[in-house]
Amino acid sequence: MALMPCNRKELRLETAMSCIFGIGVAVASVLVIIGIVLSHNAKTGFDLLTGRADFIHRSNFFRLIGSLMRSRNMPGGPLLFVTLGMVSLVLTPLLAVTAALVHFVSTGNLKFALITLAVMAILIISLAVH
Amino acid sequence: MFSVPVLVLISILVGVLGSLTGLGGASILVPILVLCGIPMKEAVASTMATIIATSASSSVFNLRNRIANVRIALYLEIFTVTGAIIGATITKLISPVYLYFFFAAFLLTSFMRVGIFRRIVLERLLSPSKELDRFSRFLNLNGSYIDAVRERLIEYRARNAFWGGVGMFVAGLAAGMLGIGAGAFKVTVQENILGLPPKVSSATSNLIIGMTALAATSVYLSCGFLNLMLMAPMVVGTAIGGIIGGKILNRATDSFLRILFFTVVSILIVQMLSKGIMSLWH
Repeated sequence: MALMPCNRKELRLETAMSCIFGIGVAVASVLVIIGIVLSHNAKTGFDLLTGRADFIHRSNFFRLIGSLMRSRNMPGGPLLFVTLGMVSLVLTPLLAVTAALVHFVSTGNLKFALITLAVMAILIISLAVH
Repeated sequence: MFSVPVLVLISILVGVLGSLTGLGGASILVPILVLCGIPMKEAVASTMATIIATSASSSVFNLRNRIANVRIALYLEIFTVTGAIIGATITKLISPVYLYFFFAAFLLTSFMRVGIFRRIVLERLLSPSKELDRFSRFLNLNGSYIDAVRERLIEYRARNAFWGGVGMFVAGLAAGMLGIGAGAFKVTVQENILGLPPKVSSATSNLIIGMTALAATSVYLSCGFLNLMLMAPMVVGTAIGGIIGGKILNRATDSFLRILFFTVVSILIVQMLSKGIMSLWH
């Protein structure tokens, strides 16, 4: 092919990140759609202004995951699916950054491995602290 | 009735627009939700999850087509994520009335890209260098992609990496504070300060806003502002819209993307200003 972007190693990273984003969005969407359908069948919260608002409130993201795994103090039925969908959506960019970190470390690109590590550290700290 | 199917349809349209313009969708969704009677802080928090959905779905194609640049995105991410955490913390503390005006004022910065504003703000006040500085050379933020419209390989190299980082910190601050991706500002910074081609700016902005939103979502989660039943239809709609937008981005001309961008931003500014003025009145 006459026109071909440079650097095949980076092409692998971009393909891997593209797959992670695709799978993450697909999983999150399916879980959320199941939640919406179940919610519709239970006839709760279908009108967003007059229906019941369901807020999630945890001291941080990792505690939310912990609660989900232990199924303690967590909403059941439709809201559980929506919450799981939201969690998988939040984890998607984090997994993409992890893939980038693995790529830069494995290709010996120390400069970008450190930059990616800094991004990952800020993201994890923000999810853990708030 | 402001029902779930209506919100899904609106979100699909918003996802397409957000993906094409690099706005990310939430800048359009927050004013619509506020117009429909959802409280400002709740709207801001709930759209954060949709930003991740739009960003991730449009990045599927932008990464595969090599339009989004991962190295540039990761370097700029350090600044936007830090800004987003500080911004979301500010929103927790201030009155929602101010947020309408901040929102409109921030959208106004999009006009930095237009003729006279571009000459005054970017070329005279900021006067970004056209030369490749030492820091940018050290980072080596280059890339290439095949433009489907022009049918040729476009090669580029980012310059002014330090000032680009400062600009992205401001973008992150606004993103966390207003529940938006701040895509308009990010695209402006990348095009005019870093000197990236419009499509690369739009696609890289889309990749960045998802990670920025992730950081801000964590702050809103701890405040209890995340309304699941509001977020759910928007996540599905914007994800579908983002995929459609990501597929057609490389086929759209740069001039079409610019006209679309300014039309959408102008409507949103008028809407948020009127809402803010009405809130002060009552």
